[in-house]
Amino acid sequence: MLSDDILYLSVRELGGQIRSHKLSPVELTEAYLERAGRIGARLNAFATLTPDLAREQAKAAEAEIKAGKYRGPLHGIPYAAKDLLAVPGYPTKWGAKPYADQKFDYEATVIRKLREAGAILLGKAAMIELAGGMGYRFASASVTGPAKNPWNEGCWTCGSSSGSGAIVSAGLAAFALGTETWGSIICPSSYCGISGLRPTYGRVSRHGAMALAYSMDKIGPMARSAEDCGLILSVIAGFDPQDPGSLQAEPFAYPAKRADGQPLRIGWVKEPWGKDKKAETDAAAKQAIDLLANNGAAHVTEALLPEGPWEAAGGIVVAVEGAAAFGNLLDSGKVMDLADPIGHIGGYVGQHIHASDYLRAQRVRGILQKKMETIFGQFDLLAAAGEATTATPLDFKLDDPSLSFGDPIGGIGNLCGLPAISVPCGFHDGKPVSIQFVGAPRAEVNVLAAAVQFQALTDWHAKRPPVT
Amino acid sequence: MIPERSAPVSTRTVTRRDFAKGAAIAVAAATVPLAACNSSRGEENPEAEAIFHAILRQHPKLFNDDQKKELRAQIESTVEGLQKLRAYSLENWDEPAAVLHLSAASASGDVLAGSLQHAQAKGATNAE
Repeated sequence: MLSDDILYLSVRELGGQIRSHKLSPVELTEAYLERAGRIGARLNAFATLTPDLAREQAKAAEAEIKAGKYRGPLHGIPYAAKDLLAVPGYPTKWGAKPYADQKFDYEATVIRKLREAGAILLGKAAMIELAGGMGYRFASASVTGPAKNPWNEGCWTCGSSSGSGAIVSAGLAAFALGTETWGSIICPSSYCGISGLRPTYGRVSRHGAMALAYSMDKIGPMARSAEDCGLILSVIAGFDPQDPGSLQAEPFAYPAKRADGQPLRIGWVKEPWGKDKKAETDAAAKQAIDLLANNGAAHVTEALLPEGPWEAAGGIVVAVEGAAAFGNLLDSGKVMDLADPIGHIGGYVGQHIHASDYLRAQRVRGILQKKMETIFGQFDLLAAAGEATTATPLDFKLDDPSLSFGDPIGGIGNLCGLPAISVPCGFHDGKPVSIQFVGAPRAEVNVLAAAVQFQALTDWHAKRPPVT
Repeated sequence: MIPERSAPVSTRTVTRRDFAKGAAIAVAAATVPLAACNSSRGEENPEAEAIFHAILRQHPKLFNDDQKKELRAQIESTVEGLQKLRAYSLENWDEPAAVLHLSAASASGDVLAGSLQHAQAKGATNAE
């Protein structure tokens, strides 16, 4: 069996060994499957393992590579996909009991792209029910139970890409796919000490993915390094006529050089959690940004986010679109089968928000987009701590007053569809802390450049949790 | 979830975590203690009361008493968000932006310069 040292290698490192025939995709897949079955079950990390498919794909990859047909950096690389992405022949439960037996006979575009790149699907990652679309109060809001954080199994991974965070952090796969409507890639990446990239809205096709909020849902990679996120994005990005929100932009290539080669102009966000709120994670993130500045990688100045009801607007958009997306579930009353008490009622409120208020939220969104264009004329990136807290206990009430603070950078980023990455930058009380970089639409190259440069100067991303 | 510094209606805090954890739903911002969500409080907000009763009329047997309390709390939180949204000044020509719009320049690839030029061309006077 392969050692943990191998299983924790980055995608780029694994790919290099596979390409040079030093590592067998079949052996690698078996090792991850064994670990996923043993540790993954304890962490509630997977919704479904797909061992038959994984072994078939691994054998095919091995044969092709031996024959000299190397497809690229993901060829022979095992991964997990959030359980809201359609994979024919396997359940796609959306994390929720009412959909526990749901199967699709078609393949999500991202799953197809990864299959065509030679990646190996190990399983479907556990997730918060309906990606939190009906709201939730507890980490246990999932048909698979609460996902446990590999750094502290008494704590949560965050959600809604909860299993994806646990899987990458615990070395149960080389990478995972997550999705974000508001925080669902950035937060679990931060809590689990991994690198997670939220692409620009429309950059990655959502065909075959569960819809939560049509105008805000995004799919992105969660991996061991920012460089891996770039490699994975280069495979899964691209226009798809089957996704009405898909960007008609040129393909995303990685590695990609920034056009001007100058130090990044980074705006360090003052008050990222709202006025006067100090967070336990701010100090480590500030040290991280200072490191980039002191090494000449970035020119850092303070930035103020525009003021306005952005988070309220985002909340209304998600509430209304979520209520529409799950209208059948609400009308049937089967929403009462969700695990979380908040999930039983949230959608009904969303159904009663007036169209005029929804449109007002969209008009506010238009104003915010213009304001952010101006800000990104001054800065290449905005930066702040990835989250205001470290991982919370599994039984913690997520609406506890101690967590009542704003999330303007998350609200703005998601309402405007901006790309962002979270990368680990230290620890607080033994739990990971992160820094996030947020860029202009389609400026993933800047987001990745900052994170890659930071990881070249540090080894926080190489730390491993104490799971055996 | 709702920025307090721009709160024109209420100073009550609501949780960002409803979003940060992916819940992403205004109606789930139930940080109000349930005891504060009794009917007398609800009566102070006719809009919240109207929504509450509309939902109960539509689903008369769906909710137990505890769920009704949660429901009322979520409605009140949502109405607060709506009021903040409505307090923001909009002009006739402020069109909805249903999804991400790329400026012509950013769509052509020169994101940074493009963003600035576009903002200047549009006279983005809303900049802080």
